[in-house]
Amino acid sequence: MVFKMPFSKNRISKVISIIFSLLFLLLIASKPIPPIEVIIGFSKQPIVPGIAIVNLKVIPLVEHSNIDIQIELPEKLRLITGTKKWNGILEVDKTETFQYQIYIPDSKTYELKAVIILKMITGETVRREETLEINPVAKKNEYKKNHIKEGKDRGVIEFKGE
Amino acid sequence: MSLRENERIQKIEDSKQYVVRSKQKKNKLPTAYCLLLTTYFLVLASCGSGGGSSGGTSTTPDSSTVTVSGAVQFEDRTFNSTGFTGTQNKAVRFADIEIINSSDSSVIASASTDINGNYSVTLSPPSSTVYVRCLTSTSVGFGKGTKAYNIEVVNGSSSVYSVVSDAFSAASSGTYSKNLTASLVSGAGGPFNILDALTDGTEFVVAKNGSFTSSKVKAIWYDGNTDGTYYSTATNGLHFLGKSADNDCYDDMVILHEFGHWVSNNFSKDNSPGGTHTITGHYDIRLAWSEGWATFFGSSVRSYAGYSSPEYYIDTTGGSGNGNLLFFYEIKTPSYSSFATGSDNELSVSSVLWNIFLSAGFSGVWDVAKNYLPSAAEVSLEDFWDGWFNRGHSSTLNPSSIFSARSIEYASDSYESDNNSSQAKAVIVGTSYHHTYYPSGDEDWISFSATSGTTYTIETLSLTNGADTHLFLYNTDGTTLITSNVNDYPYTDDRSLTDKSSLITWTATATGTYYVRSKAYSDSGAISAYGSYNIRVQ
Repeated sequence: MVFKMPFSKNRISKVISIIFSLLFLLLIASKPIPPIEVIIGFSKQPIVPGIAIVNLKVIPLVEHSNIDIQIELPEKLRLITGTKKWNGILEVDKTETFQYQIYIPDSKTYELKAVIILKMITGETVRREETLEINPVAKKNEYKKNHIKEGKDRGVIEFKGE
Repeated sequence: MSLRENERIQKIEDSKQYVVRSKQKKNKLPTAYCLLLTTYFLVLASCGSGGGSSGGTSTTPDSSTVTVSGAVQFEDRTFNSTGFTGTQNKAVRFADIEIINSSDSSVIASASTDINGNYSVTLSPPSSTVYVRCLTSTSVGFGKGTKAYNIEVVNGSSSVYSVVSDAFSAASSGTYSKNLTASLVSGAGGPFNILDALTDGTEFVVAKNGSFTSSKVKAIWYDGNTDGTYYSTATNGLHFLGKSADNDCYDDMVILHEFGHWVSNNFSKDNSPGGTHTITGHYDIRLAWSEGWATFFGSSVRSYAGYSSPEYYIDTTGGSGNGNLLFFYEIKTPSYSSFATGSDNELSVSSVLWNIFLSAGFSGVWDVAKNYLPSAAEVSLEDFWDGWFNRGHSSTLNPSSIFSARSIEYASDSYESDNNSSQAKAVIVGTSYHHTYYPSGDEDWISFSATSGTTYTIETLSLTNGADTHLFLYNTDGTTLITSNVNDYPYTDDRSLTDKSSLITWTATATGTYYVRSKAYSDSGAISAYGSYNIRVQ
């Protein structure tokens, strides 16, 4: 496969073209993504009780006429700074970060939900919901034995199955 | 049977295990192990022992044998376009079963589950306690030739997952029942679901193609994996996210989408440059084909397997409980329909293929994918269109209306024939004219009246369906080239690195009728032969 490159008569360009061709021979096909990317997470792991800083990153990937952003807090959590509801237009392909300071009263598990609705210029909407678990319960994987190596080539992870 | 005989059988069983696994890896049996295998069968015959695996069907035990049997299930998560809707137990099909010696973890015997998840293993009574293990792999059936495919679901260290029974003594002859379940809460359900979805996929290929390949279908997933969900041609591996905000182990359509890439690479051809892609985006037509095919393939698998609403691509966050939808879209009457247009949008490609499938079945699509596309220089929907006619499927279905429903114009425009200066269509300065490059090699000629000393902009606009235009301006004789945009600095024939439209700015030195020739870029490395565009002089 040869790709069209600028400066096609230039030797450097030919070398770059070959490198590009080789790179593209190795396909990385990722899964489809919606027209708006949303990432929610802590700025750093919160200490409880105390104030957590939550970052909500929104990346619109399509032209739109409006974006609604709303965060939903459990009753016991208190929003100190940040806007619960926001709407407007964001630049396409650019990450916009909304920051919230939230008071967490105890070490119980809570869920903070962000609801984002993007309205395209064609009138169609995309709804995204992202949940952030605060003080998540530790997962208990019921391994019987973990990662047994059998010989040089094979490992087996065993879970209780009965 | 004496202890020594028991030991001898045990050794032979161990040898057999090694042989089976070696075969999977190298597809080649060393002579020594062939001899061992031969010896094994001779010994079995002379001892009259059941001594081995039954491949999921029961063998009548005699008084000196032990039969271990049972059913293996995993906890599946049901879903629809709202996200998860519940759980249900489902059979673990065609998976490897091993009887393990508890004291040294050696494999005593092996078999595989059948289509209903049942297994039965007959062996000589072992002296130590044993347990049953069901793996997220299908190597036993593959190794014995009872299954055409070899699937393996592993973690980041290439360790295979399994569910196991408690250890038990099987020293006395008889039948021991051991049922296993890979539960959701244990963390084992996820990898078994990946195995299940890939089993659906491979069964579909075998049904439609008549055979599979010897290549292993290897899926990598583990809790906490943030590497991404993708298919890599470099490793021929499928990778699935396992992070808390997006865990794909129960997202069957996501799994089958990636498997669609695997199938394309192993049975057809894929020239996608790869990269991230939104379903509303318009990209390189090779990427749109690759991604559109992958989703279509996943839907076809789910249709064949009898699941409801196979035309929906559903991606969840993987969170616990019902709901947890990340996003979904439909391909029959495509979601975001105003974006799902052209051969450069993956949703549009999926929709075209799905509607062909609904009208004409899968066989024609598969025939083109397998027997025509590998010969294409740069695979895209254009090649699928060509292949459909080349392979004679147009007698079953003329897909023109399906393509045009998604604004894919693989047809001549209304100005044909305009293939040379004598056929050039006179245009009004300041007006846009819609053209297509079709069939391959098509040229569109226009003429316009120019006034001496006036500067004109000759350009192509609104390129769709992979159009890559190339403009040439000719003098009043229609044959003398004045200029072209071929050598426009710095982008050969393109307006910019990301814009394949063309632009010529020119000042007339004499009043008269001038000619413009428009053709698809066709040098080495050209991606598209067709495409739609507007042309304007002003």
